[in-house]
Amino acid sequence: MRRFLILGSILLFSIPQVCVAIEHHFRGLVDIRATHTDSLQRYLDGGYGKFQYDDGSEFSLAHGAIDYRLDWDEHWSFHGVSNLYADESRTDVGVSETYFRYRGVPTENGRRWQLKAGMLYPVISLENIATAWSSPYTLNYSTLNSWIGEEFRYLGVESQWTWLGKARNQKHDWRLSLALMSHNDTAGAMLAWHGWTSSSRQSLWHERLPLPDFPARSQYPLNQQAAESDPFLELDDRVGYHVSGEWNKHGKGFIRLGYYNNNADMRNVVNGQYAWGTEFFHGGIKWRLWGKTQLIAQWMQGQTAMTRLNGDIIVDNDYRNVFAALTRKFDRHRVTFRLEDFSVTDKDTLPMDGNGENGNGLTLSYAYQWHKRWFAHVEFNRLRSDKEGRMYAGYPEELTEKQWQLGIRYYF
Amino acid sequence: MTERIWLGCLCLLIVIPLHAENAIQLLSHEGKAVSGVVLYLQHKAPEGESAQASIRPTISQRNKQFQPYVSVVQVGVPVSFENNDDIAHHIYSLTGKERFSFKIRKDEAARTLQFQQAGIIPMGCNIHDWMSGYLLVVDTPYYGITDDNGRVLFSHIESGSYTLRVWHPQMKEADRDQQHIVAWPLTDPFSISLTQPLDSIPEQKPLDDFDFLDGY
Repeated sequence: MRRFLILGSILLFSIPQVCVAIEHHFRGLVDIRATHTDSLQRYLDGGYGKFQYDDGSEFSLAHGAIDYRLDWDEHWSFHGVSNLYADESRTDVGVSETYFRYRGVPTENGRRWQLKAGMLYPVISLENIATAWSSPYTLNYSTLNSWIGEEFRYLGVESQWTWLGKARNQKHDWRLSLALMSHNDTAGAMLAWHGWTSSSRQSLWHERLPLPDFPARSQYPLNQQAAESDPFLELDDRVGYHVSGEWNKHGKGFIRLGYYNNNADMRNVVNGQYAWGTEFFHGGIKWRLWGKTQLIAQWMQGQTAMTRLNGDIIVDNDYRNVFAALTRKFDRHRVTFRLEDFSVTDKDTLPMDGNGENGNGLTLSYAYQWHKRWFAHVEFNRLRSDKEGRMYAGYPEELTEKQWQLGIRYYF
Repeated sequence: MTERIWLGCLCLLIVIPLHAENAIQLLSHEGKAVSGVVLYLQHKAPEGESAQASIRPTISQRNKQFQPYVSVVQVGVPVSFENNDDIAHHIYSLTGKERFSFKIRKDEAARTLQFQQAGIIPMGCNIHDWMSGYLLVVDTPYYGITDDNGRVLFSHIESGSYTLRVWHPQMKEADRDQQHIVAWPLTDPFSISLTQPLDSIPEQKPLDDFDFLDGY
């Protein structure tokens, strides 16, 4: 194995150097935060708290990231993103994305083809558009995109076709992308068991996500389930897919619609990791309303389920999430206001495993850019939810969680 | 000494109107001066080789924009591309017989290109899709881009009949081009008007005003 790695490294670094000059680019982010959280034990440690911090106050390195890019000609590049999270409970470091990219030059008709291959995010979030999948708008991502960051990454290829309107003297562009993927068979487990969450965490490729300790886990059939979910596993050797389309009106904004299906064969369990059949439709709009005020809204609706080896349903959930945010930048200031509404509908009859949830969220965020690379953020997050599963741990079904955050972010 | 100054002033008074006669002004259909539009003069019947224009345009990439949005150059005259941003750009031409594509890095010396055929060259940046610029390559040394007063000053032009052509990517006329026959030298101040208003010029700005966007 080591020999292959050495050989691969030599190939990667030597062949392009023979042909053209290699360029290395390092970008990154340091996000240090002081937080005060009114919540429960956090979901990251198997609790029901919906934020990334436990109840109380703490200082943390909320996100450290290095985004490395290697260019070896006009079209080909390699990207790798490593993240570091360090708080009072634990420190995690690892890789969140790594892929090769080919990006062609538009033809005379304005058609451009791009291919990505490797460990990728599905193109869904309208918030996570900055270095290392960070958001320029808020510290905490919406619950919708927090779930993408927690359970969605795949090994696969994403082919994207763009039609640039300027080639036809039109004021809009079209984009179509198709991704074929593996290693996303357990997606859905965390949503079913800890529900919707809001954070700025992204699961790392090696990471295992602890499940809440609810009564059904000690009984058949869920006693077969591992205590930690491995979110990026291939269990059935079946290819999933994601298709999305985008219409972009120059200078105004864009609309995106898509469908994701991990195409998992739910009759597969390996080492307590169940294949979850997870599919959803998603949509989003980013639009300039007036002046520099921008609307960002996303919607998602789908279902996820797991079964016994014989195909009998164990857990079967529908889910829905929608958020709308208004953000405005004036000079060095940015203000963002976000409202969310989310639910999980429990359709199975498994006792002591209530996955149902209904909730909403509010975020108020202010950012001040005092230097090109330095940002100060103040943010308030509030999530109110009715979640049956919380009662198994002795917490009220109806709960309001709040969080104040002061963040200093440095982009390099 | 005083006499010389007076004589100099008198010469200026005589020279200024003569030069002013060489200016052509472009007005909108509402009679207002229009800036940023290409005006060029073509011989009705070309006679031999024209003198080469001395203007060597520079197309800058500044604040993630093509500046200027519209440039014009004579066939065979070098055009410089200069990156004034602290990031790389990947400049490409969308159409034309001499298509080009190159990356220009933040600390790289300016790239120079020459075009041997007249035509319209729409340009973009393959990293920043909102960037948009145009280069018009003309087969005459007599050209310019209208200033804030809508004027282009032509000089050293031989007497004769010319076709004055007006071009801008946002013109709504057929082929985005308007033509007039003019006799040179001009005897009176000369102005022409666009028959239709220009379409809005695309804003060369990303949707999100944030310096650390990535390709998500």
